[in-house]
Amino acid sequence: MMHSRLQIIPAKPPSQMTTVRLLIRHPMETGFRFDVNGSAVPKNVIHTLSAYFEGKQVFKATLGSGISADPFLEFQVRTPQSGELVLQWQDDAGETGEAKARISLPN
Amino acid sequence: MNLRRRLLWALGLGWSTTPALFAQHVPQEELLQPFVGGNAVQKGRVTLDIARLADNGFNVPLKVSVASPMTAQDHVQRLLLLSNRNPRPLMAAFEFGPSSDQVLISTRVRLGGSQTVYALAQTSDGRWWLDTAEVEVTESACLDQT
Repeated sequence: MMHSRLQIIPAKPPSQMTTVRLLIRHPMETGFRFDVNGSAVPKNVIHTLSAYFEGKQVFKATLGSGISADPFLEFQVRTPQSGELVLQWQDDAGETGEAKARISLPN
Repeated sequence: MNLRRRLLWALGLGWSTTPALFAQHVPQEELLQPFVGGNAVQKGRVTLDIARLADNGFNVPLKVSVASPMTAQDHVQRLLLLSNRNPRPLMAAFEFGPSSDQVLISTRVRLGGSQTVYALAQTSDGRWWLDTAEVEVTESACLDQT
C-alpha cells in the first residue's frame, strides 16, 4: 500500500464543486536512469488514477514519466449531495493504492 | 559531408547542422499530430498557468483551467499536457464526464530543458483547444542520456 495524503475542500453551496488534493509517495521512475552499478532502473510510474463518487467514475488521469516524483494532483469533482469519494491508482510494478474520504456538505 | 558543412565546421558552426546531438524541440504540428490527427486546433478556452522561469526542471508546478459550461451537450472531454522537448511528449492526460463541474487541474511536471509546454483540450463537439507557455528551465530534468 502506497503512502498518500488526501485533502478535501467540500463544496460551499450553491457551488457543487469539491476540490480534491492528492499527494502520493512514489518515485515515478522514468526508465532513463542508471543506478550505481550502471544497470538501467526500470520504468515505474503511476499510470492510471481514477476517482469515484458514490461508486460512479467522475475523473480519470493517465500519468507518465513527465510527472514529478511524489505526484501531486488537484482537481474538482461535482458533489450534488454528501457521499463517499474513492481514489484508486496503479503503477507499472502492479502495485495499487487507494484513498477514501467522506464528503459531508452543509445542509 | 558536403562542402557547405565542411565550411561550417571550419567556422565552428558545425553543431548547428548536426541533428540529434541534443534533445530537439519538436515542431508544433509534429507534436500535436498523434493526438489530434488532422483536426484543426484553436487557441482559446484553455488557460495554462506556469512560471516563466523554473529553477528545477524535476518539479515544475502548473495549473490548467478550461472555460466550459460543462453541460451534457457542451463539456470538456479530455485535457492533455504535452512537452515539446521531453523524450515522452505526453506528460499527462485527464478525462472528465459531464458530471464535472469545472475543469481546473494543478499538478507538478518534469521538464527536460527550456521549452514550450502545451495544454490541449477536447470539447464534446470534437473541437480541440490549445494554450501554450514558454518555460526557461535552469536545471533540466535529464530524462534521457543526452
